[in-house]
Amino acid sequence: MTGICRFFPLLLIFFCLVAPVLAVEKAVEPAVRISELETQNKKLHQQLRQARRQLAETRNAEQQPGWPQIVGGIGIIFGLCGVTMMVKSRKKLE
Amino acid sequence: MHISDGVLPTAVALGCYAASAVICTWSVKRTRSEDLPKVAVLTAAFFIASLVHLPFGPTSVHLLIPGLVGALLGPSAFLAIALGLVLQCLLFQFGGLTALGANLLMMGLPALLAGLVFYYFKGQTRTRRIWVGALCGGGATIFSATLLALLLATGGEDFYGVAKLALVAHIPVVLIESGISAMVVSFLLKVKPEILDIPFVLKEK
Repeated sequence: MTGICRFFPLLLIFFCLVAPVLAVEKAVEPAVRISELETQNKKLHQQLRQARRQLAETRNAEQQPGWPQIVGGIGIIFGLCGVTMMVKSRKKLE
Repeated sequence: MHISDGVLPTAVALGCYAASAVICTWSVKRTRSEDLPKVAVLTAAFFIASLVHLPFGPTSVHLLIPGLVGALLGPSAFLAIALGLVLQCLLFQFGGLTALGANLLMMGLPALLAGLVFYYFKGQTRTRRIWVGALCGGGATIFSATLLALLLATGGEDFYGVAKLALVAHIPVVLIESGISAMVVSFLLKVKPEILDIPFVLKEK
């Protein structure tokens, strides 16, 4: 799941980069070309920032402990206590 | 209040591991089998208390309750805290595995001290027990903040700077923990007063 989450922004960035690379061939006026590239650059930056934010968000969400961890932890504690009590009671019986 | 991986020098981390292993063995030996359910309940409470976050300025601090655990469990408190910390470390990513020994000392020693103080000073009257319980709850937190500063000082930090920062950040926790400890002690005095009479024996019978 996390693999896909991290892979998706990379794919997005890749597709954004493919178009400008292919469009280089046409000969256009330099000034127009520069302004075009600048706007494209701005757009790409925005998208990159968005992707980064998403990545950070998912990473944060992964580190937060959820209900499974909490309930599992309590289960481990009581389970260990139960095992110890069982062992002790067996020793007593013997 | 947890020390992360790689903050402490290796020698200090190993020393803390050794010291906490010794204390933990002692604690296991002092634990009576009839007390085990109580130990389990307080371990679970300690484990969960760290998830109760209090917003404080730009950051947030969380409950620690070593004082309460110490006052109610006596010598077994170190065992309870050890188990709780190991699980917190593995499941919540609080602190690192290499710093586990240091974290254990930081939480366990105040708990043992709180148990000792509660055992010797609890007296007989109800109000006195509640006050001593509150003192244990608050005092243990202050002590563990000081221990944190001491341990970080071995890693090259300035002791007074860290101590001041840790103490200031934990003022709300100290107040809230004193209140919680007093409430729990007064509640237990009402419903099951014998639970507060744990013998803090230092020598084996």
